[in-house]
Amino acid sequence: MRRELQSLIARDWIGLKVEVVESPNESEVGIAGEVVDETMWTLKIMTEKGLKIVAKKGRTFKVWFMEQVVKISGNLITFRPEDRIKRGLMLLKRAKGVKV
Amino acid sequence: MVLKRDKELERKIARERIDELMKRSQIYKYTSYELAKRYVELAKKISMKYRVRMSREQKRSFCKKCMYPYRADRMRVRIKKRRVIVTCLNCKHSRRFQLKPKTSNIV
Amino acid sequence: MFDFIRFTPTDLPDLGFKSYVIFDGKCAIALTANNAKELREKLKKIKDNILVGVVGKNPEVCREAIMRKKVDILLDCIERELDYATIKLAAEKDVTIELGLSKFLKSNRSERLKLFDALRTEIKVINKFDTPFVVSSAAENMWEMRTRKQIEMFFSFFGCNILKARKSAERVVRRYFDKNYIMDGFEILE
Repeated sequence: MRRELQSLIARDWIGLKVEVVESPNESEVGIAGEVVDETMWTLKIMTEKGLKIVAKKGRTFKVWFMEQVVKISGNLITFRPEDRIKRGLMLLKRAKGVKV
Repeated sequence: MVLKRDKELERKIARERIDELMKRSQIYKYTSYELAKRYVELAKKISMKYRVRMSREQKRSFCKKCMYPYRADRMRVRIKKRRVIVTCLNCKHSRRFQLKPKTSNIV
Repeated sequence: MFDFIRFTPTDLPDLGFKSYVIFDGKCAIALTANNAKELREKLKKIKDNILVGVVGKNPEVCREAIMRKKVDILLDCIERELDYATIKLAAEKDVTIELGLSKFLKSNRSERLKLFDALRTEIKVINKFDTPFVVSSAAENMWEMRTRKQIEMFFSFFGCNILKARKSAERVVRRYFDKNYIMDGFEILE
């Protein structure tokens, strides 16, 4: 179970439910919905009120994956979706105390 | 020596992502055609980068030139001389598949 | 706030710490070595995922310890000498440096002056490169333990940022003893 949750850094988030928890812009806190597309710096989230584009740097997100909730900071995922698999696994390998 | 890449794990995750993205493009092709095209492009990029092959049905479900998935009102299917000819009506690019003769059970 | 001590205490009064990290071999391990080869052999024997600290007696051992992925903390002793390049490397490789109080209590008058001087330069370089560091009593018996406020006042007089020290201590301890913490900025809720 823990390994699947660890691999959340290494996969793109298209199709997962996401909520913005902290942000330097106060009007962005509370945006929730499903991720529709992803680029290197932004996430496109489909909410009830429409399509919202949110930057990744400096924000923290809550992600719902396999009936568990994970809190991730956006600085760790600023990569293109096809690059995320390789770079995410390298980040996990470099960190101390993490078993991949 | 620098850190070693775990290529088997990368391929396993890439395989899962390609399957899921192609499934999503089939679901979304009638509601938002542009999004479905973006999913097909991403699946192709992941398959090229990590050297993972797509299955035969996945490969044949989109147009190779313009990357739009085939859908009922934007494609033309004809059969001639034991070949299926599929034309994409967005870019007019056509491709052909061979049909194998069916061996019947009654001899 | 956590304290890093080298013996198992009995009958402790409340000194203001959340908890103690004891280097006894079960919850954390402390290694000593005289040269780089010994350190490598001792590190190979450790196979579990456990907090590892290295007592740095020569600069050669310190440098070798920072380059290893298994080492988390550089422990403090009287003979430790940290120079500019070592602290810069520690910032890149994410190894915590411990600033301990017990060496000032054990030394004579003239040695203590030299230690104060070295401490001031070390803290200047640590603030420049933003290395993670930890402030503790480094006690080897119960007469060397102090309360949290005394240790924090002493080290903040020389110019170190106590909030950063608290955060780095939490990071190092939560890696191994908290099930819901994976990395800096990556946590499992509930």
